[in-house]
Amino acid sequence: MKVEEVMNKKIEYIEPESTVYDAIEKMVDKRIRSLLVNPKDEQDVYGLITVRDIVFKIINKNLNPRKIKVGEITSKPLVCVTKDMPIEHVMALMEKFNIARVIVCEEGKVRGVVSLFDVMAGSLIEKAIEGHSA
Amino acid sequence: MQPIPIIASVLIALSVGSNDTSNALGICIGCRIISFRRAVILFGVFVLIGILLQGRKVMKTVGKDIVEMDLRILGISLLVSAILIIISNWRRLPVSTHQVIIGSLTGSGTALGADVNYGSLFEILLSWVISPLAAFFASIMLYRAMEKTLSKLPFLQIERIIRVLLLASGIIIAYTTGANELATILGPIIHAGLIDETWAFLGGSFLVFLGAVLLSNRIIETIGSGITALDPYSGFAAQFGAGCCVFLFTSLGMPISTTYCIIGGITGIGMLKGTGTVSVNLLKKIALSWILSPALAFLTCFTIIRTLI
Amino acid sequence: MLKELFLGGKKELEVVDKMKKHMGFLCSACTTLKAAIENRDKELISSVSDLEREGDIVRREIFSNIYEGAFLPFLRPNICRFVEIVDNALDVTKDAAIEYTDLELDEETKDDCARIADISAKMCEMLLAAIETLSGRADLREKSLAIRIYEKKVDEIEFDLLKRLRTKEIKNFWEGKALSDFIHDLTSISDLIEDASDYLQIINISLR
Repeated sequence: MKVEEVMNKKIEYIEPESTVYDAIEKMVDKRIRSLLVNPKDEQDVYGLITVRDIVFKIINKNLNPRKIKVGEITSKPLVCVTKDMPIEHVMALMEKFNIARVIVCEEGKVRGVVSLFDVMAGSLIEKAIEGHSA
Repeated sequence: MQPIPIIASVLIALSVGSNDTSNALGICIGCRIISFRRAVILFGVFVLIGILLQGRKVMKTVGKDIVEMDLRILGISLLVSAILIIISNWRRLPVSTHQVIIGSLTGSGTALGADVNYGSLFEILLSWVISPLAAFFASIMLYRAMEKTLSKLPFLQIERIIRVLLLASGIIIAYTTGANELATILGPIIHAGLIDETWAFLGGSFLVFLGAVLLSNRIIETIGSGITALDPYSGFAAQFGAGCCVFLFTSLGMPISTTYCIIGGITGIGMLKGTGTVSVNLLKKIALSWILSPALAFLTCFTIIRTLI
Repeated sequence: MLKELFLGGKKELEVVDKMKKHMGFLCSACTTLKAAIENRDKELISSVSDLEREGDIVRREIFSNIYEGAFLPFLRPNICRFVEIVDNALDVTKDAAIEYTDLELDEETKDDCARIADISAKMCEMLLAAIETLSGRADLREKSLAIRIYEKKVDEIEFDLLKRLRTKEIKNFWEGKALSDFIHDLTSISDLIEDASDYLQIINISLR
């Protein structure tokens, strides 16, 4: 199974200057667990902010999300994969870097996200299909 | 005096036929595995086979072992029994032919001061208590065994197998109705020498068959629907468990009620699936009649004899 | 009669085969609908109606087979219900196809709708495979879960699609209604397939 079969094309962006509180609001409204952080300037690269970052770096430390900027807790650089990469590869990456999602890139542009959930759902479907032709 | 026992036995045989066919084949007919007509014929055939192969032990227990038979005891007991049985069937109470007959015999015997074999009586009473309980447990064990084996098979296969199994369990019950129920009825008159064995077997089976044909469709409400709603899977476990119990007790010569064993089986399965599904009221009604029927039969005969003789 | 008892299962196998045939029509209908949307090919719409009609014919055959004596009576209502749900899915697919005839979708909406039709088609294939469970050649649980996962994906696409469409301008009530009906029917297909899969579960455990 390839990345492109399970990836989620729904990507939401946020500015590094926005507050973490804005990020939380966006995540809740759009029902997603990660946001792509736009680069600050020409020299900068894309980053990622996830629910995990917010919980462990802000909430657990009792910091005020309204006072912290997204840029301060963003993970950079992105862990990228290509559309035709096999799922097993992705799982290995996730395990190695202890991350819950990877970004799908093509020709320098962001195309989608693959999360742990997508991997799980995808492999279940593959198994169900295989189970029949077996 | 002579024709009275025979007429009474005829009546009892007819009502056994009308009442007990539903025990045996109600589930099969309800599940459309077999048509009513074929079910009744099958029933008759296996009742005959039952009494031919294994009827003698129970016949001896009832006809000889309990009470020293004489024509008065015979006549009154069977007449009273016939009346009580017909009334309960009419009122749809699940009453055991055995309990009524044995109650009557004991009542009459005691009233006339005849020799009552309390040892045999005790054995019989014990069997009456143990057999439904045995059926209760047998059905539960069978259900568990089925869960471990039958359930693992694919759906279509289970469906096919269940049909065959239901028919088999119906046949066993028909067989035990002959070997036990019919034997209880015929025992007294055969051992009193009123009728030849072969004629009794053939006639008795035929009468049971006739009863089934004439009156059964009024009574094909399987006992199952009154107490718990049983699906074919559970129905088989309940019925087959009960059938095995009756078979066992028949081999020991004990006259027990198939009806109550089936009730025991159904209750067992009902409890396994959650007590809520068992109608406690109905169970109470059944327990009551279980105590009252032999008592009533006993007292009626006793009173009649003491009054008339 | 005795032969029926032992060699039995022929009637039941016939019914299961027809159920698979019925499902096959649904699969084809969804695939055709997807192609029609993707390629903006309105000619294909009539094929969907044809498939729905064929489906009706098979459904009637199934019902008469069942009441001629297939399956224990205790099982029949659930099996009939399953067939009815699949039939509803076919009806709703046909409705969606017909509503599509007069629509002109923008590129983004077209893509989303094509994706929904595609996932629905995949769900059908999965359900078709799941029917094999009855003959014991498949594991129902896995396929059932896969169908539910697919259905959630359709829900997600629907949610975003509707949100986007609400900001769109419509010229008159009927144009809006046509679009709304189309989306509603298109997304109902997957709901019904999920229901059917649940019924298959019920059938499967009723004899255990």
